[in-house]
Amino acid sequence: MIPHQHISNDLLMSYAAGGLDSALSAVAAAHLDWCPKCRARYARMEMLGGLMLERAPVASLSEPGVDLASHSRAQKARNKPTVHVDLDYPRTGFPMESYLPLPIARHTGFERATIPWRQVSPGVEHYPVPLPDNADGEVQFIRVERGHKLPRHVSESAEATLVLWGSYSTAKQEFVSGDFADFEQGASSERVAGDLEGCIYLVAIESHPRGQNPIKRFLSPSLRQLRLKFHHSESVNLIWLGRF
Amino acid sequence: MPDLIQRIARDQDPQAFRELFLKFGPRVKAMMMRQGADAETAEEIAQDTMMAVWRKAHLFIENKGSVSTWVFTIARNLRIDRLRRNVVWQDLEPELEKLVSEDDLPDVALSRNEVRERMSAALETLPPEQYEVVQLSFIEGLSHHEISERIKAPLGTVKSRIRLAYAKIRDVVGDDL
Repeated sequence: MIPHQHISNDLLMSYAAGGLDSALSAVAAAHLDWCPKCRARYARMEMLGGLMLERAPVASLSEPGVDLASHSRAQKARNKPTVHVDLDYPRTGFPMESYLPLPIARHTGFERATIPWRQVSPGVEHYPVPLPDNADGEVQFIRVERGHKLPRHVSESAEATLVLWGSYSTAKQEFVSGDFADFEQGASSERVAGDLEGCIYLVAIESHPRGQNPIKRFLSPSLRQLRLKFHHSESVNLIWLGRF
Repeated sequence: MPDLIQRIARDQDPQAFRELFLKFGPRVKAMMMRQGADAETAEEIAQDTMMAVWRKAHLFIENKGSVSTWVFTIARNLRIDRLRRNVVWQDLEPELEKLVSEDDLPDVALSRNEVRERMSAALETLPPEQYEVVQLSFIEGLSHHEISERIKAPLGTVKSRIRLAYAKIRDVVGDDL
């Protein structure tokens, strides 16, 4: 069994090239973990990246002045360890009942049952996934009770969702567990959580309609800290206001 | 090139490494500079990329992938990591990389090398405006919005060129992915 709704070719190529912002990358990585079809296309696109590298211009590069032998496999233990939470994850394929996609599980340390939900309105809870301070965009887990409307975020910002559990429907389509959806201009139409189980999903919200927020770049780290502090009061309220 | 990697993995052959280094190192550095890194940072990423090739060659063998693809993904991930504005979601564990590359590709008659050759030939036949968006994506590391600004074309045009380019490359490989 594989998911039904996939990542578009242009978005996937951007991800393979390393050009997607952190938030969209997170949701893309999560879908890839569950979708062999998208992984196969992704492998093709990485191959394309290799072919482009072969055609890249050259810059002068000095040969390494290090003793190669000292960097051999015996030294591997000294490599920077990748950050990951050592969850005992079975890799039995999709769907994975109580689990989250591996990249998300590793990053957050949660399983589906342990997400520390915070209520935002009746029938809707969320948990913002922490990203690096200066990352673009935001990622949230969202849980919507059955029959309730999904929240709308900043209008006109691109948004992508991955259904982790249950389903939601627009007027035209139903998205079930594993399905990826990409709303380039924001989700303008109404979306409702499924009647059976409601819906748990992961959402990436682009920071700015143009994909670049120059002002944010110039914020000093201390200002960013301040903004983060208020994140859960003011800016969340702004984002969540007037959705229903 | 795969046998260069094999010589590195099996014999820790410095001469084989030197050949790979000379082929890819300067290209990775140029790619990083095009992506906005200063010369020093680009040099470091290129050196780190090639040292990862040296250290991880034994993993590559198990993988049976294409060398340039592998070098590209290492460089891409190091760049994402270095910028610190992004989490390296792609940083898969080796066993997972194997899972991805071996199990998921369709069971077509073409060997991986044939796929690579055909994709390479198809790249050469792309119309210039389609080749350009592929180049800007992979080598300059631009987002669709940035490409749109660079070539002064609407975002929709950028995306459709990317889709058209991929469709041509996919067609010669003979799968419907």
